[in-house]
Amino acid sequence: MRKKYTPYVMIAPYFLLYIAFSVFPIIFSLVISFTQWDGIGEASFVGLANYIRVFTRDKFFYKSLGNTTLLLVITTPVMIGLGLMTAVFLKDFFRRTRNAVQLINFLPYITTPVAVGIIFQLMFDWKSGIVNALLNLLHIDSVYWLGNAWASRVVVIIMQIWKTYGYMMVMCLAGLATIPEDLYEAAKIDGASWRHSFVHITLPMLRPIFTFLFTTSIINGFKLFDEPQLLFSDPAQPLGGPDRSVMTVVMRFYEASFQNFEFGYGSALAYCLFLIIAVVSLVVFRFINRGTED
Amino acid sequence: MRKYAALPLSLAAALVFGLFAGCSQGASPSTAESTAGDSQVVSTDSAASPTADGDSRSIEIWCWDLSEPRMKSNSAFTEQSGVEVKLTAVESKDMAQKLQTTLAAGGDMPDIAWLEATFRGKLLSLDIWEDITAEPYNYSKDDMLDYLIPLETSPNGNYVGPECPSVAGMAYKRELALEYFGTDDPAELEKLLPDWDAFVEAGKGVQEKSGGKVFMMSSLGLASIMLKGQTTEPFVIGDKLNLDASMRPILERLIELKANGICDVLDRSSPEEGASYAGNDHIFYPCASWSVEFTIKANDRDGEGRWAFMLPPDGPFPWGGTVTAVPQKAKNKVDAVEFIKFFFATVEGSKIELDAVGNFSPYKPVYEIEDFYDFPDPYFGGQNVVQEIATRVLPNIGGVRVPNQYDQDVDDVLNLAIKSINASDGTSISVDELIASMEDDLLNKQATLTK
Repeated sequence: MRKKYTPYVMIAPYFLLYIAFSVFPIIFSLVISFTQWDGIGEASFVGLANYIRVFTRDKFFYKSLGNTTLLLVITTPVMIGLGLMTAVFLKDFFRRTRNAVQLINFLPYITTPVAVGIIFQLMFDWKSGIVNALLNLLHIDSVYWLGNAWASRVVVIIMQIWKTYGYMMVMCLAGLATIPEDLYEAAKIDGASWRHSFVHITLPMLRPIFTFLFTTSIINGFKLFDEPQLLFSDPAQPLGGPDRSVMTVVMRFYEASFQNFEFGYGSALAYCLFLIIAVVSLVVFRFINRGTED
Repeated sequence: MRKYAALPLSLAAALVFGLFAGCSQGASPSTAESTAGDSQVVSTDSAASPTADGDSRSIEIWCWDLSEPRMKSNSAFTEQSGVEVKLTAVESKDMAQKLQTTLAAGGDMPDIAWLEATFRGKLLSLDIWEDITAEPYNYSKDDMLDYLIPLETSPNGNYVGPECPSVAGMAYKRELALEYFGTDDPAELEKLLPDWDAFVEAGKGVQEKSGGKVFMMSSLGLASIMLKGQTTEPFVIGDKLNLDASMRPILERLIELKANGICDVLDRSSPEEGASYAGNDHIFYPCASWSVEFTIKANDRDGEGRWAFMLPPDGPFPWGGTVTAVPQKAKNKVDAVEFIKFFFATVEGSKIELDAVGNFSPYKPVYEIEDFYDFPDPYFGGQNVVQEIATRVLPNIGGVRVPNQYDQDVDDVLNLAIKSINASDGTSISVDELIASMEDDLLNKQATLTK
C-alpha cells in the first residue's frame, strides 16, 4: 500500500509548486481580469468592460503595442543575423581565438540589467556622453539621445542588440556543431564556394535553430521591459521616455497594475498581450516551417 | 528497499511542508524577515523588554534609510522604551506597490511605513491608515507645525502621521557668484535676485559674460521643483483636471528659462547633474533641509567653503517630506505611535533626530529654544544654514499644494513636458500644445479623470 503512494509523494513538491506559482496565478489573473479591483477592497465583477477598454479607449495600449512591434521588427532580424554571422565566422575562420571571442560576445547577456542601464545612460548623455563626444570629433552636432523620441528608440535598439546577440551567437554555434562536416567536404569536392556552402548547407540545416530563435525572440520582444525601463527609471524621467516612444506593452501593464493599482485592468492587458504573443508566434512558426510538413 | 525509501520520502515531505509554511501567514518571531523577502533588514540591539507572555516587543518600519546614524537614533528609543526597532529597506518609489501587493496577498503589514511626497497623494487616498490622533494613541497634532497638517491628512480627514519639515531655499557656489555678480554675500544676492524676472535677467548676463559656458542652474527639472513648490493651485480638483490654471505659469516660466539659456540641458537627478555640483558651470541649486548632507556635500566632497545659502527668487518652498504612517493592519500600533511620539513630539527625540540624521522637527516647542538649530557650517563658509532654514525659510513658506492621488501622474506628464522643452530651442514650443498634450496623456492614463 505504502509503495503505491511513494511515487506520488515524490513528485508532489514539483506539482504543488507548479500549482501554487503557475496554475493558480494564471487562473486567478484571468478571473480578476473580469473585475475592478484595487487590491484592498472587494473586487466587483465588470464582465468584459476591461477588455473593451483595452481595445476601444486605451490609446496607450496601441501606442505601446506599436512601439513594441517596431522594436521587435528591427531588433530580431539584426540580432539573429549578427549572431549567425559571428558564429559562422568563428567556426570557419577563427578557430584558435573562438573561445575568447565567444566569451566577450556573450558577456553582455549575463551583465546585470541595472548596470547596462546606467552604462547606456552615461554613454548617451547629451552633454557628457562618449557617443556625442565621438560625434563632435566628426564635426556632427550632439544628439539629445534620451530626450528625443526617435533617438531614444535607437538607443533601446542598440542596447537590446548589444545585450542579446551573444546569446544568438551561442545558439547558432550549437546548431552549427550538429551539421556533419561530411556535407561541407562533399560540397567542397564538388567545387562549392564558401558562400554556396553557407547558403545551401548551413542555412537550411539551421532551420530548427532559427525557428526556436525567432519564436523565443518574438515572445521576449513582446515582453520587453527592462531595457527601456532602466533608461528612464528615475522618478524625474517620464515613464516610457520622451513622447512615450519606448513605452512597451509590459510597461503599460506594469503602470496599470502597480502604479494605478488597477489589478483587474492590468490582468486584462496581460491576457491581451498573451493572445497577441500566441497568434504572432503561431504565424511565425508556420511561416518558418512552411514546406517542411513532408 | 523500505529503509532506503525513507530518506527521499522525508525530503519530499519536508519540501511539501516547507512550501505550505512559505505560503502561510503565521506570526512567528521571524515574520518580519520572511515578509521582507530578499530586502535588507536591520534592527536595533535587542534591549527589548519582554511582555507578560514572554515575547519581546518590537516594531517593523519600511523605509529607505538603513544607515548607521539612523540605527543609532532608533537605539535611543529602544533604550528608553524597550521596544526593538526593525528596519526593512523599501525604496520610496516601490513603497506603494509593496504595500498594495502585501495587502492584496494578505501579508504582514509594517508597523510604520514611510510615505514620500511624490507618492504620498496616492498612498493617503487608500483607506488603510490609522488616525493616530484617535484613541488609544491620542497623538497631539496641535503641537505640529501648522503648514504640515494638510500634507499629513488623508482625504477622509484622518491625521495619518507627522513628518520632518522639508523646506528649501537656494544654495550657490560663492566663487561663481563673486565672478558674475560681484558679491558672494547671501543678503546682497537676495536683493539682486528677488524674483524670477530678475533671475532671468541676471542669467542672460551670466551667459553673455561666460560665452554660453556658465548657467544659472543645471536643469529645467530642478527649476520646475522650485516653481511647482512656490505655487499652491491644485493640478486636479476632485477628478477634474485644472492644468490651465495650475500648470500654465510653471510651463511659461520653464520655456522662458530655456529660451534664455538660464538652465543647462542636464536631466534632473542624472549622474551628470550629480557631477555638476563639483564643477564650475552651474551657479544655483535648490537646497532643501536634507540637500545639504545628502546632495551637496555628497556630490562635492572637496567643496568646503565653496558654498553659501540664500532665499530663492520669489521665496522659499516646500520640497519633499516623508510622512510616517501606521497601517490599520499593523500588529504593534501602540508601540509604533509611541515611536512616532518620541521622535516627532518630544524635544529629546527631536534633538536626537537632528544630531543623528540632521532632520528638522515638526514639534512647535523646539522653535522656542534659541540655540536648538545653532550649527555654523564650515562647508558653507561658517554660514549657519540650519538656523537659516529654521528662522527664515520655515516661517516664510507661503502655502502647500494638498496631496492628491494623481500627483505621480501629474509629475510624470510634467517630466514629459520638460523633455519636450529641453529638446526645443524654447521658441518653437507653445504652452497650449504642452497643456493639451498633458491633458490627453492624463485622461488616457486615468480613466476616472475628466477635463
